[in-house]
Amino acid sequence: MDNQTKRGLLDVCVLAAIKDEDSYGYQIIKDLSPLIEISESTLYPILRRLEESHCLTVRSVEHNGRLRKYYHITAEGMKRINDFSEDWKEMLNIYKFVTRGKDL
Amino acid sequence: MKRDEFYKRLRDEMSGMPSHTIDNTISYYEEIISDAVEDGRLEEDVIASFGSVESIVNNLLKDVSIAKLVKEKVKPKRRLETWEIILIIVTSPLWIGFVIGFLGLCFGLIGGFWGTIVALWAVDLAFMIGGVVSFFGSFATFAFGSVPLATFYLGVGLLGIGLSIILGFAFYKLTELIIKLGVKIVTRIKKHFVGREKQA
Repeated sequence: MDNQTKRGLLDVCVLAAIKDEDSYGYQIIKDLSPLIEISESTLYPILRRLEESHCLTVRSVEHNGRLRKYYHITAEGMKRINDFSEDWKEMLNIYKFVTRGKDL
Repeated sequence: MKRDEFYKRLRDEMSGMPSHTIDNTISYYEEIISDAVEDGRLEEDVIASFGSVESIVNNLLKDVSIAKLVKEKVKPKRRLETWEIILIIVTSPLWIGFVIGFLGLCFGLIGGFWGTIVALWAVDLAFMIGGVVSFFGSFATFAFGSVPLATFYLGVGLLGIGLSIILGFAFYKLTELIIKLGVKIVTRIKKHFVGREKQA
């Protein structure tokens, strides 16, 4: 997979990880690592980027005497997920067409 | 590496970046380390899994513009005395020249890179147009009865089209390479603005 595709996928994966309920950095990595290669140091720039593009908001919650940041998806973030799934539906149709009748 | 040393090294390596970026980054890693330790992992292992401090900062630099870094660099760390402000104004013809020079260098680099890419594709396009014109021209020449000349044009046309396709692949790779090189140079320039200055 080329870097640009992976970057786009990671953005959507992170958004999907907080889609149903707010989550925090460590949990997001735990949820995503079985699916896609992601580390703590790759997650951070993604979270920053998504926050700057208003796809998520951040709030601090006290946990065990320290603060933990919870990320919450915005309408813009949901739109990103929807756009992604529309694009991939199209891609999937193309894929089916390209590989039809072949054992791939 | 223990967490205190990690924070110190991260702070040193990031110095020159906007202070809120540094604080946010440190607090992000503080949270991750605490959560991982709570999860039963060893502090040193967690920190080792982040990769080198340098690579963390390099990754962050991709999202910070040169303009922001320059602004941070020239921002005074304390309130300036009146005489310092006067000195800055008096010496402005000198440093404005440097600033313009630096900006010129940046624009020059960007222009150079894009110029090269445009030139490559212009060459490819020229081969393609020349090839196509010559290819169809050969039919017209043939209609006028000059068979050897028509065959010559046909050959030239096919050669042009073929070359443009082969060069297209090569130029595509070359364009990728030039863009990668450009990104590398920009990161290098950015690197000059961050990191604690070494003590002499």
